[in-house]
Amino acid sequence: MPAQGEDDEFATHPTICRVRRALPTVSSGPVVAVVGGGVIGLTCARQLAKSGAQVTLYDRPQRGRPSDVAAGMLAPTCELDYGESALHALSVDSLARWPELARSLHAESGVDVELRTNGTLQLATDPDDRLRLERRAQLWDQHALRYEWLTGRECRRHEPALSRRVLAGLRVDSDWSVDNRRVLDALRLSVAAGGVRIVEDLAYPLLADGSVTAVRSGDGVQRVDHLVLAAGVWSGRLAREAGLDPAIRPVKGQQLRLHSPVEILTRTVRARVDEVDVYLVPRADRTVVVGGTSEDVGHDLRRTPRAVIDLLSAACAIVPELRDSELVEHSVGLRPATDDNGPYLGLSQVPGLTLATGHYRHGFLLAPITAEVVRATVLHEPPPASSLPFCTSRRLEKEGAHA
Amino acid sequence: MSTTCTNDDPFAVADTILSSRLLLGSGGASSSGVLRDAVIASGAQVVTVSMRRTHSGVDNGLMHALKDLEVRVLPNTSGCRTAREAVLVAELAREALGTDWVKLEVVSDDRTLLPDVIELVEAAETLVAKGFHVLPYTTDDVVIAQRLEEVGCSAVMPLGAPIGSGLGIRNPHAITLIRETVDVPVILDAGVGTASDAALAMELGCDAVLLATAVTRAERPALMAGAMRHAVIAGRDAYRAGRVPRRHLAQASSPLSPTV
Repeated sequence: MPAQGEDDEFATHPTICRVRRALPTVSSGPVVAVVGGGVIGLTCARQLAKSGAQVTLYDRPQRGRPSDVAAGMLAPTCELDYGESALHALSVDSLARWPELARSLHAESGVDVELRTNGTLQLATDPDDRLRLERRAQLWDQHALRYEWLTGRECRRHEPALSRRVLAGLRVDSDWSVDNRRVLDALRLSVAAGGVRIVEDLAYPLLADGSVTAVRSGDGVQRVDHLVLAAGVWSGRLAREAGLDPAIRPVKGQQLRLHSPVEILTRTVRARVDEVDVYLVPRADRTVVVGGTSEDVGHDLRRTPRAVIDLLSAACAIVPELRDSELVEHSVGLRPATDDNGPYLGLSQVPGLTLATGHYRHGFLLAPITAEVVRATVLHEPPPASSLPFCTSRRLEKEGAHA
Repeated sequence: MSTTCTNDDPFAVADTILSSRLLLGSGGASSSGVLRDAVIASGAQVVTVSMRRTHSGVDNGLMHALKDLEVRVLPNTSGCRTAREAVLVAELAREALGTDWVKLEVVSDDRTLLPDVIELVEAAETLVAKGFHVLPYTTDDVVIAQRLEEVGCSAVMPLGAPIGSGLGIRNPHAITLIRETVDVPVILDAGVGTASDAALAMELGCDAVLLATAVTRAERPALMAGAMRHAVIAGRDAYRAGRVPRRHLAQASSPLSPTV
């Protein structure tokens, strides 16, 4: 993916074409511009189109777009951290919507997004790490989350490729995965079939009387009822055009993909090996996604030897067979991080500007709930209760008071 | 806001008077918001940042979190394995952040993160010659502390225990010896797990405490940051107040012939 130029990338996606589709002539739904063609923008565009909106998706492919690189983990439990209960509740709500989304996408596009629901193993590789897992388990107890302790041998019975380095593990059945690229392919086919018009450019908001009433892009000026901003780390620049300044910054993630002639793992495995956090997410094509660094270094797309050394050392320590796999990819994604790791959702203080951004590590997990919030916002319906703490206008007010 | 330093007990490092004897490391926070709240609650005036995390300038969450706070950013050379690498990183830091202060770290390996003191002294000497104010992270070895002072370091920063271990001060006697031996400030660095560890460091005579993990990975970082702030104040005051000697047997606190 990252080795290709932007145009090449487009050429590989025949579903995105420069040919404009005719808008449904009888549609009287709201006119919506969705800016951003990652998992969030695509999922929102699909949902809006299904709800009768006239949707244009503005999608300028960007190097470092995290959806292209994401491991596709849907992991509300393993991603839970202290002080993030509201984010967890949002994640759980969204996860519950994934089976239906996966089924619908399959029906609409013919693409199986490979939703794996056989759980995740979180492994300990030394006594200190075991203590760390015990602390995590305590946190999960506080949230009444289900998990099961496994001995090292039990871990190896679940996943025979694991090495003796694994001392113990937690089996978390609630944490799943999807194939990120299959999801994107399915969404692109679905939105194209659903009548979404696609423009290969960013769209800037145009305001009248303090409201977003149109967007400007290489395609010209288009009148809109709503602008849905789903442009990840590129959102801040566009929001500032409308007088908003959501605090979104890039957190760089480097990731490797290893391909093997045989299936090595059947489920997601996460571990910390010599203080390096690593996850291994298997794909049906027998690729294993190995990630991911988390580097708060700004807009940086360099691929570093340190990441290769750290990730491969950790991955091969717990799954030695991977040493003889083929290293097929080393890529970089820029996660859109916010100050509290939670997204900006829903209507902002600027009428007509709806935010669906700042999803940080959780874009795929939070895509279904985000699409529902956006649909409800555009149709003037109440959004799901779990999304209220992330309601954009409240969050931006809170930050304003903070500064 | 109470501070750890009063006019009759100033804390000076390299000709600068600092308002707090608690220095905060920035690694390990779950979000920039969490870090910001912890820095505020700690009252720390100096926050260390890894140059590995800031090499691209100020466009990152760390700098965002510290924005508008009256804190002094102290770059460190964490992760460096050789004197040469540490010197390069320090020079990068000076350019990127506009400060000639550096917390010098040269570690032997990623597993223990223990200081490689041979490389450390070498790097310290080079950096002092280049005009840096060097604050080296070192072992609790008194001779090495002396050597670091001799080459011109502005402070010495002995460890209480390995970085991130939370094991407290494993060899209090060594810390006392260092305090009695060198004239530059002694800043206990690494190993603090909870507030009593920080208080103990100050009671042993340390001039300040630097900690990160104990706060950033606590369940409630801002609450722990406040606890550390109070612990450092309490420990410093106790050290200055002069503790009573330890005795084998009881001594009535209300004697028959009152002195007051």
